[in-house]
Amino acid sequence: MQNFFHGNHFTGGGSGESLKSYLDYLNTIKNGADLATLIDEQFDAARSEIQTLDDNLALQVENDNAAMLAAYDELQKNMVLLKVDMLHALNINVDYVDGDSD
Amino acid sequence: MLRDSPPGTYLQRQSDAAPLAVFRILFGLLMLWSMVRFAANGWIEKLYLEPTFFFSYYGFGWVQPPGDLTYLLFVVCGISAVLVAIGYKYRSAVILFFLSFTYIELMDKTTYLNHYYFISIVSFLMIFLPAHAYFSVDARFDSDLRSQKVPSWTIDSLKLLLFIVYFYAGLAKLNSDWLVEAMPLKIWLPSLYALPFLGDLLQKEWTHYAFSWSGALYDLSIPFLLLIHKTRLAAFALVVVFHLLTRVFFPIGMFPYIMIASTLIFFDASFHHRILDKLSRAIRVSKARFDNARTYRFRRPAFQKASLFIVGLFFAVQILFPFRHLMYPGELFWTEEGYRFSWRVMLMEKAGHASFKVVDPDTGRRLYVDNSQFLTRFQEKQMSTQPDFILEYAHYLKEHFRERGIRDPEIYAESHVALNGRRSRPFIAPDVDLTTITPSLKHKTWILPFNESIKGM
Repeated sequence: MQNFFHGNHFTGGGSGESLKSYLDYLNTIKNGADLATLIDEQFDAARSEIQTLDDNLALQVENDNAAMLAAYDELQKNMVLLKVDMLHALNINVDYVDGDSD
Repeated sequence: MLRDSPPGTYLQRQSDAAPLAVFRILFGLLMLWSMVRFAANGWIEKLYLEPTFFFSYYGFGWVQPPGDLTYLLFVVCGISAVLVAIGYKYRSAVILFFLSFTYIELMDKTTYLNHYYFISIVSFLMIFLPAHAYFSVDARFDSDLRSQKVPSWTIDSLKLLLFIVYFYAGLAKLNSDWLVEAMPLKIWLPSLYALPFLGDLLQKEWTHYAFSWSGALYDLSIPFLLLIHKTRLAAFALVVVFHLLTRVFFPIGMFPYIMIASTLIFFDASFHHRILDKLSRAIRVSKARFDNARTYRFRRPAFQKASLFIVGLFFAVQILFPFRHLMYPGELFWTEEGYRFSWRVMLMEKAGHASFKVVDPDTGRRLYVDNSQFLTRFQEKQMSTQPDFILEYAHYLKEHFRERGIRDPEIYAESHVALNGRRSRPFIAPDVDLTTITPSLKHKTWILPFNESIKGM
């Protein structure tokens, strides 16, 4: 997912235009919080939490469920950043009715 | 309008009826077009037939879409719009239009738009105006009704309503987000990069400020410019340019055309006579028959008194109601307590996400609700940023899980909202069991504080 966010190509190196680059561009207009960096850091935070977990998640839940919940919390934080903050900044409506607004 | 005359003589003053007749015809035709467009876009199904649950206005839970009869409701609304336009059985027609249109709007507040509210209250006002006295089917066949003149207050009341709409919309724009941050235009305009000619310009920050400031200035000044004879033509040109620009920028539907047509009421009668001349030639109806120099009289003096009383009360409400947010603590844009029905147009861009945790206190088991199982995307979007929606949905979930065998489910909302370019922050207190809260118009203490202030109206 982080690769997608960066626009990294599936095969080989290199990256193209991406959600991150558009966020960075919009941020040059808005001078707001640096959302792209926040999302990036949250990806890293979630990954490092997940890496502390046992490969067998069932064992992990039995032995130390707190770490499991911590990893879930970090993932949830990024869900909010992506689904609320990013869609807000990009002005994307996740909607199938092209209704009127006012 | 009022000038120096005492109210008694003002109420006896008469005006040419042509502006009222043109208003009636245009309003009816635009409403017919709205209904046809709504149905043709498939919105009857998408908004009123496909959802399994509908969000109600406080006190209007009994207004629900009547299944397949919803089509009939729209047909009734469309036909009554035609009858209003031609002025046939006008009073009954406009009452029927007001009732059917308002019923449709009350079925689900997800679809709330200021301009739907505008149409509802204009049609309510029209019930008390003799818009059928001139150039109508009713007046064609009823010589008692046929009148070239109507009391001035009947035309002025429409002007006053438009004045309130514009001026209040302008007042609402005098806030720090709009003027200092150029929000939410700064979010909306850059996404229109694909527009020919304007696309590049809309990426520039100064453009966002220019549009914000000129928009506020337009709303505040246009009602005055329309009232003053000297500036009227220029003002109308501004009306057309402004509303067509909003049409290009935003998916704003019929609203621009409705406002452009409505503001014609400010023009002198001679202008409306020219319109009716052309129309009468096109449809081969003699206009001369209506030019009888008679003044419209209410059938009984009591009708005139009652109409004046209701119209007076109506305007008292219209002037005061938009300020009801002053009775609530907290940031208006955040809580939206007193936000609707007050001409706050285009002021906010909100994004949110709400997930609901259902807890069975008997077993301690919990689960998270998949919102798409109960709500359409559109409903979920509206729900996630508006506290009254969240509460109503939580109560609906309570009933649902009761039927599924949980004796006394507790419902908690975990939600985040981003407003006008700010970082998202928690919205609803996550430790409040929403099933213990009774829906009311009182301040909602379970909304988390915004911790920032947006200064202004």
